Amino acid sequence: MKSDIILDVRDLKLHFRTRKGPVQAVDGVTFQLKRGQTLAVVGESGCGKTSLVKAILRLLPRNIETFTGEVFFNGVDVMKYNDERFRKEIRWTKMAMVPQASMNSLNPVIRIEDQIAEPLFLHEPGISREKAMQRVAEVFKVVGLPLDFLQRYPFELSGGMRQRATIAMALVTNPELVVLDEPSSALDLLTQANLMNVLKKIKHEYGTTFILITHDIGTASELADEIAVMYAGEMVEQCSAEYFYTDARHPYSRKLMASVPTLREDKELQFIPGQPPSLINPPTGCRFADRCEQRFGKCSEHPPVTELEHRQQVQCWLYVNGKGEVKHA
Amino acid sequence: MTRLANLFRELRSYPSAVAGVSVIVIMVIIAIYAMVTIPYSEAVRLWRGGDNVWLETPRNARPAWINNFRREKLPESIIMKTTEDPSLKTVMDLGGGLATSDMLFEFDYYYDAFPSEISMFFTAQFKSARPNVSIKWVTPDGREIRLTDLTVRQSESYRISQDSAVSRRLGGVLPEKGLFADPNDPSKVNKGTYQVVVEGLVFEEGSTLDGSLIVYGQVHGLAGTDHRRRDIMVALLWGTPVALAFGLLAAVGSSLTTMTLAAAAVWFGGWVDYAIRRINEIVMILPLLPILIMVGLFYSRSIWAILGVVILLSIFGSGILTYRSMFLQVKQSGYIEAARAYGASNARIIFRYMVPKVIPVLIPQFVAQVPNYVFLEATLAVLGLGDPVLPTWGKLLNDAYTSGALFNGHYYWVLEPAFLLVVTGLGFAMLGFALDRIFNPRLRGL
Amino acid sequence: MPNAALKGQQKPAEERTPILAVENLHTWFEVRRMGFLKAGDVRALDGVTFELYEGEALSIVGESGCGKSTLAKTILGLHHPTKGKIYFQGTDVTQLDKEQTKQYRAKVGYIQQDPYGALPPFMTVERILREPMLINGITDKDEQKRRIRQVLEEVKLAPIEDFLPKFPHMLSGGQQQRLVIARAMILEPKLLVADEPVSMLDASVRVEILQLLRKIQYDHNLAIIYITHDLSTVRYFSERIFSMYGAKIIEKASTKALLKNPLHPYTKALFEATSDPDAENLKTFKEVPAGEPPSLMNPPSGCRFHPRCSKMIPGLCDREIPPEFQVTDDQFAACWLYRES
Repeated sequence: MKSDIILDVRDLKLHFRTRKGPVQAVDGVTFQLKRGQTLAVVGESGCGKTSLVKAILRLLPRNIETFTGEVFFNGVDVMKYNDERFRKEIRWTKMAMVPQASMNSLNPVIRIEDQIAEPLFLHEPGISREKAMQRVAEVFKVVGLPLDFLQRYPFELSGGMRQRATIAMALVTNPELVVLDEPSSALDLLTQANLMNVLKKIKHEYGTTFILITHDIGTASELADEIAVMYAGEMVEQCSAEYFYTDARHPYSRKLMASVPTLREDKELQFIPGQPPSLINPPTGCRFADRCEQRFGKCSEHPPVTELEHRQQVQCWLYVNGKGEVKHA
Repeated sequence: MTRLANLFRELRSYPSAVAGVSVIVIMVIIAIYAMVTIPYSEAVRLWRGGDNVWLETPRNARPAWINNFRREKLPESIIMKTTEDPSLKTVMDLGGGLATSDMLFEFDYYYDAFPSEISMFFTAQFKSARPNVSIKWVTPDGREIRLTDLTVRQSESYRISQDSAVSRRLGGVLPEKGLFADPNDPSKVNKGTYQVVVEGLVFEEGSTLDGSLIVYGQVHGLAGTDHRRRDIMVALLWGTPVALAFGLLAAVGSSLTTMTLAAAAVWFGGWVDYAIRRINEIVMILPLLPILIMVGLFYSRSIWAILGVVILLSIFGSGILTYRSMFLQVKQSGYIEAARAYGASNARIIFRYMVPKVIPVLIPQFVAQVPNYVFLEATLAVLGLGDPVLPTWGKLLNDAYTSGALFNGHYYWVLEPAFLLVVTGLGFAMLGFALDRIFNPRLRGL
Repeated sequence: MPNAALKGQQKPAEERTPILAVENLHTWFEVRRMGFLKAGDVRALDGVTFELYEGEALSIVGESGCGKSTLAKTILGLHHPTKGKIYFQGTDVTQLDKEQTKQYRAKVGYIQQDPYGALPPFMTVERILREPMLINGITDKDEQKRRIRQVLEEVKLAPIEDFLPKFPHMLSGGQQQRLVIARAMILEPKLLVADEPVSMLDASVRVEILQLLRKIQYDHNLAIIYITHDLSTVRYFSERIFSMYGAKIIEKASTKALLKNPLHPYTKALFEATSDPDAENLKTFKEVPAGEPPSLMNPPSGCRFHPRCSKMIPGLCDREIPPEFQVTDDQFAACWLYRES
């Protein structure tokens, strides 16, 4: 009975209250994610990508101004759940998260195995210790850590191993969806590559659905089936990875791709002049308009989302009314 | 400068900061007012002076405003002097150097309580023959009570309240009660106009006689008086600059020195750091209060000596460890490394690069520390180690304590300095907390 | 700026003059137990030799702990070398007195990884730029103004008057890094050491900063040491690349040669581990060596990469330290695989 769509987010808004006014960290984000697929959310720092997943997992700070929208998880609108029910039935049992720099937030005085087992004891009360440890050993193998490390303390592990341990902690309750927030950005290149191999293996063997948050499009391409581009609190493009790297449509996505240096081929690197707008009182029209070379009159109004071929969704006036191809500036 | 303006703008959005700043501003105004109206030497003279200075104030009087809250009004002092009001005196030359110098002190007394004391003072000028006076008390209902006959020296005081003869004549009650008592109900005041009639006689040509009558009340001024008739207001006023100066100097002195030392320890590391940490460990186990008491007993009780010792001991106190840990972090900053790379000297790095970085953390701490030192000064004074000459809040408390103020019901004596201490502490604390939130945004309540 | 300008053309070797020559450089840090018992040395830099020419951009790649930052800081004089020599314009700078060291430091600019951390948060832009001049005896007000104007124009922080009274936190990450570059340039150095100058910046800004650095390098005929962990940026930046592992340089090559054909197994692994955005990546697993970089206190005998190397030759790689073999005209590798060349 489980549908193909595991996560269906509609018009999700998360505004924070600050002294200077509400910060529109996530403003009207809509997307769908298929079971077993990986969505990479890319964008520059401060574009709201972390806030987006925190909103989905309801890991919210206290200064919430607005938190609205619908989040259908397996067809059920979990936004209607109260916090307690959400915590019990969804968070970590169905959706887990590996927060940014979490490898450095392991408790230094608790053995790795006990930390990994913690979510089990919380979400499956009454589970025996033996059973829990058995499960911990299983996920330990999944993330490719030698079992004799179970008894160790976090400081005895290298950064890459600790990151694997935090991923094991997210996997231990067997969630259907795992959110990875910059899982590899603090790691060395080889460690990072090894970790991506591990994640790829988990994805293939267990069919886990991932949301991968990263600013590194190169690394994202290792795991992502879908790419979502965020800019100033909005999702400006969502596209299958197959087409994104070569055929991104939103002017911002194109610029972003043009700014990524490549190792194997020579290309003309470009940068995006200017800065993203403040999320306090952002422009009412297209938020990228100020930096966009292709802006025109319409851009002072808020652009709708247009679906193009290959299910590519773009929030840009250039594609409204089947205008289709971009006039190159 | 724009930063300072921004700071003030931000401060305005915290009610507690506004309250704190107001308190501090008021304190500063009081301090300036005190120092302008009562110069330092005058303050010392007033506070050390005995009965000569405080002749006209009642002993242990409550603040005057207390009458606003009472149905039975307490008397204020009534002071009448022939030197100030010559109409009180009638001089008649009888010839041959003999002259009468009669005085009539007439006053209304409508208070509900008896005065605390009655005294008369005479001054006379003569060569060899001392003038004579004969004093009579006339009550509103016309009874005349003879008080005494005196031969007046150059300066003569006649304390009616202490005249046991009068007391006997009145039937064994204290004169200040008996003289004012209602004949029908001795516990009540006979309200009306009283007269004190002085018949004076001088015996020489050019000889003069002046007198004054003081009916001491039970209330005085805004703050009341103490057991030595001193107006507590003087100490309250002068206590303000002393408290502020002590608190600020101690806080500034110890924080700045501590910070500089911590910065040097961290920057140079090695034996400098080692030495400073060992000194800190020794100082940490030294008890501050007993040392201050010893200094007070054996060396000097001057507030400045105590201030010096307080600063000296707090420099190496626990604060230095806090700063040290902060500086250890600062030392790792990229901008310090950059400064080394472009050739900055050690001193420059410490003073221009390390210290300014922690100042924002320091300011709120330092503001919140001020009351600690204000309280410390008060504590020392209460323990009897206050500055021997300066009037301070702590010394008021000490006086109140030694003369059993609370036991005798002189609450105002304790409450007034205590109130000022609390308000000062509160003012600095409120400002300090607000500054902490501004400088360390993580603490902001979201 | 056209891309061609980014990829420098190298002059033939005989026309070039070395500005910096590093000989057998060692920087070891003592590790003490309980504050005084010597427990050993961390060999953060263990025998590095190379020459850098005037106007040349050199990239040094490697993972954290490979010694690349230690090399940078030793060249800058922030660490004192344990052994070895650094010749700057012919003078050995490890033997200078205090005053001479100061003069040397003024000729070497330093650009750090974290631009915000590299700027004193309590100083204005103007003050930040004036500090190096004050310290190095440029006290003439007009000269100071001229230089401030010049460097800010160069890093394109305009309008200048708007920026002068600002504090670092009022600038964006990119602007902060330009200010760091401006500060490094204000003493008119001959050599710039840039330690991961763009790794903390967003992708869109990264390119801008790299292009800016490259332009400044050309305009002033500067030598640059560009230290990075990101192989993909070096293609756009440098003439030569050194690859470092375990406190040693293991491969030296021209950028072109290295990107076409990395020789050392470790450089190959770095190459393999770097992902270009490509949908094909989804389908393949990366072949990268497992394990961790070696301990620098007890480095493995022989080649320091041998425990992780798939091409390890038993009895050789684990015993003998490989010397530098010249494999082609512009490519050297410290690897026994190339002992025949």
